[in-house]
Amino acid sequence: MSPAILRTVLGLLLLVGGFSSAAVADDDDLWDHAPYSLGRGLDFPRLGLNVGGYLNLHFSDLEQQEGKIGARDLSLFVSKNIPDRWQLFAEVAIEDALEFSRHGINDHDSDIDLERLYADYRAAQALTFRFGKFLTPVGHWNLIHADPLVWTADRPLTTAAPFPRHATGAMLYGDIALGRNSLDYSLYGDDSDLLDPAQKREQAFEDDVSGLSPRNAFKRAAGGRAAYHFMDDSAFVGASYLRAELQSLREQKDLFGIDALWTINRMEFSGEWVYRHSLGAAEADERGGFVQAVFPLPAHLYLIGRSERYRSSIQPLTATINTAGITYRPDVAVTVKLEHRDGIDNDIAAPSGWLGSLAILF
Amino acid sequence: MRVAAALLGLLLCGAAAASDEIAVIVAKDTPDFQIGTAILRDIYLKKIFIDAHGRAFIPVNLPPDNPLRRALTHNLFNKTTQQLQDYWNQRYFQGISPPYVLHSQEAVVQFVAKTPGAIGYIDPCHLDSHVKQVLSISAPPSQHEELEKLCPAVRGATE
Repeated sequence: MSPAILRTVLGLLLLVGGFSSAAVADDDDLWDHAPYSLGRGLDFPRLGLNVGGYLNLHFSDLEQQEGKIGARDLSLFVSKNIPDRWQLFAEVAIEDALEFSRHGINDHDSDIDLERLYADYRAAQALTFRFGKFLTPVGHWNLIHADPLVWTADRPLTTAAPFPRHATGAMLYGDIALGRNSLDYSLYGDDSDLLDPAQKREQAFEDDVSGLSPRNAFKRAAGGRAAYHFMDDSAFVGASYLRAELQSLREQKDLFGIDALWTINRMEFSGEWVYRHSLGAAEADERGGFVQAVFPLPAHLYLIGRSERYRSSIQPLTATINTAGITYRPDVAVTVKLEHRDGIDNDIAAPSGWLGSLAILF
Repeated sequence: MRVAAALLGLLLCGAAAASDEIAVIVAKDTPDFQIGTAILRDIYLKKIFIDAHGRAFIPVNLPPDNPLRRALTHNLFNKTTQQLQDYWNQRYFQGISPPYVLHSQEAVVQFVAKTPGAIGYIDPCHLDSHVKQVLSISAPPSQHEELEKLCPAVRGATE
């Protein structure tokens, strides 16, 4: 994504904000100034505009790799409501901006990327149309993958390796109230070949050292997800389906996924499972899943344990990956994480070692 | 005189407007507006953005330490503070901000009266002719005493 396109996108958002501002100027006295709040962005309620983002400083010291520390993500969000039915949203990210290791500073891998850019049209209470680039609705983790929102610095393979994290096309989604419970759903189609041909290809296995990791990007895809929320929204179970053609693989893929989460007494239990079936004989299927538990400790500390098994196409044996970590959340918008990853047959897909991060939602 | 003052108090607060009630309000001229607690919860959680006619809802909140807000949160969401914070973190990541916060009940009444689509909540003793009550929410018994302090002048007239 070139800087010129980014400037155009942000310029358009601000321009729309300006027009809306003029339209509601008469009601100026009704809207109090909204003070800045960490983790909620800079809010301009009269304009329906919010500007925020997150920062993620990442540390890793893994087997067969040199230890490194650096700024992994600096993301900026801009959202704009246009009464009564439209909302625009953009997320621009500077990834791997700066990295320090024994060999000095590396800024060659830095990249500016348009992570998300979409317009929502609220057609009815339980039906919204989305057009643009959005997060692929497979499982729960991918939809909230920002470092300040998840419990570990390490991302499970199940949530990243078998599918591209972004799709470009159209989606319809909504939330259907069922008494105190609810069902949220999404159906989407992707045509990245046509709409986003220059997209960045994400590495399927982030810490791969073999050089075998495929780069994930859609050519075309269609899928859906539904999640049933119950127990006053403290629990849900979800199911995902996706049929896709990927740029770096020849055969079509069918992906099936299940995910669940339950929070009780500040504890959280969650898990996801996926099976990616290749519609041909040449490319291997992938499958995997994880379970994760979070336990609160005194002084804003949380203990996290996760166990994952993942059968990938880049190594012959199923990897078992166990992660134990501690997370400090002094504020709703700040997390500090330190964890140790270990396992069996995990040295290619997710090598053992230490990981950590400081993440701030701003 | 004491009887007249008591009657005045009852008129202002309404017979049912004891300290255990929260009045959900919209502008007086809002047409065809019916709402239940499930819909209200989804409006305040920003799961629903428009009404059946496509008009945008603008839910407004009182500050987090206001007893009315605490009572509404308890009754409507049944979530801990941390669960709500986590919820809004995730919504913020999706480009959705929490409801707009106004500093007082008087500001809520004024805002709701003049802003199409606005919906707020107040103690019934703050109702005036520019807004109408569309729903009554019960406050938990543990907060009755705290809520009584929100309208001391009016309630004092009934004592």
